[in-house]
Amino acid sequence: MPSITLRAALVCLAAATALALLTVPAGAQTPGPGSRAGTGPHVRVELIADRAAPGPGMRLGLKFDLDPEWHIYWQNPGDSGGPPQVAWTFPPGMMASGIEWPVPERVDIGGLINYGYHDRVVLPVVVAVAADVRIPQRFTITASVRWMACSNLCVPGKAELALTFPLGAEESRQVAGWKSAVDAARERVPKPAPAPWKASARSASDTFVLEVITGSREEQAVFFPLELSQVNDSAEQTATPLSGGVRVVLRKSSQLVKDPGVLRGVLALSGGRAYMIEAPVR
Amino acid sequence: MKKTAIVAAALAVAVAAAPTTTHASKVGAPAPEFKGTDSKGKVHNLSDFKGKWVVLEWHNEGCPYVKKHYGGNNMQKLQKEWTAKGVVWLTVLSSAAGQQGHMEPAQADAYFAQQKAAQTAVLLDPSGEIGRRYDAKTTPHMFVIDPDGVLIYNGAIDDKPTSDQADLAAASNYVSAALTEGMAGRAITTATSRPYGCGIKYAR
Repeated sequence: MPSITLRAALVCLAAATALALLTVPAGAQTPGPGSRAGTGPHVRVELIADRAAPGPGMRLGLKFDLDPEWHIYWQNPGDSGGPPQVAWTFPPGMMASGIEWPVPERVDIGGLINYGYHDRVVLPVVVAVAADVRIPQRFTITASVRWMACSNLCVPGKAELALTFPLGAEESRQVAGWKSAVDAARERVPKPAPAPWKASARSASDTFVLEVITGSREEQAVFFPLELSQVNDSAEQTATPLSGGVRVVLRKSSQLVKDPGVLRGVLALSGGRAYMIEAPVR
Repeated sequence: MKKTAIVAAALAVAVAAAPTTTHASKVGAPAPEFKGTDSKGKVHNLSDFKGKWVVLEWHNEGCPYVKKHYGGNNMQKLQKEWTAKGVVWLTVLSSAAGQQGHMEPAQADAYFAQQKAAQTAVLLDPSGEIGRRYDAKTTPHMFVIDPDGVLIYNGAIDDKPTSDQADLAAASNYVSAALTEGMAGRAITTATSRPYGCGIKYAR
């Protein structure tokens, strides 16, 4: 019961915030509910945008800079940890339609495997803009970000970020750099598997034998499962090149009770190529 | 040619190693036997608890996810509730010496007394042997074993995989659900889930 009350209060608060943004006269200085950058232990995070003039196709970016040896998480964090979570506020007619997750790395933490990002990562976020709503001249986007950062240890962090449009002088100077950072991150977002590709997974007692026929020999492959508890994340993956693709042997998770109908995930190949694949399990 | 041979050899090793790690902690199968020494120096075998329900809780005091459940008094409440119903609750510390979460016996006793914890015993597992036998990944990672010694639950403590205490109120607790259903002779609705938390700091 208390949680529902809390949620209701939060909804009211969000509504009030939206209303406050609505009623700010154009040109007036919006009191900043946060700043563009925030820090937590071992982590610095910034809210950036890929353009100075908001409109359809716009992307925001959450740019994380991490101390050496520290990482944050992909959408499936692997053996431990958890992905960053963001609560957004936008002016009416705009909304975030989810993070476009760049391909992660396998991060070995004492024999357990996490799927995540080291050093620096930009998480692009697509902003949907309603066609029939006039975007106010001046508005602020806020992002309440919570994350877990781990090395051998884990420390949670949070930041209240805000970005106001039109951009100020300082931001305007940086926006070209932001755009390159967001574009570079988008290059690393897995693409849909090309239509002629064939992916399948054979279920053996302890393993899934994943075969992806790409049309050419693939020397390297790493599979990142999208679903939790299907694949044993810390088990070594054995990739064998095939004349027209690659075979990857994945150990099943000890949390897996029943074979899934399909293995969904990212197949990372040599040269930074990464594709979303769906392999029916048979 | 040479590469193929190496891959084939690696594959053979992987397959040979599989049964000990993959099936070790499968729900519906007998829970792996273990012998562990608690913080009072007492030795426990899992088989000593035949006829009783057993909960295993992996713990690391420095882990933010563990702090969520202890700081919010959630774990202690569960321990009190279920040990009062005759459940054997074993808290296991598998952090290696020098790693976060490692404790000497007296240190463990003082810490859990201060936390007002109510587990049956605290097993000190710095070698990681019990943890690896169960393929325990995170703190917390929870297991429930029925009176016949069969593993009936392997996974997270609840369905809110965060380190935020505010999420406790709305969480659905998988351990309580498994014990409740198991004791009533019903099938376990959620018998496995992905454990969430910090990776266990095993000896390398």
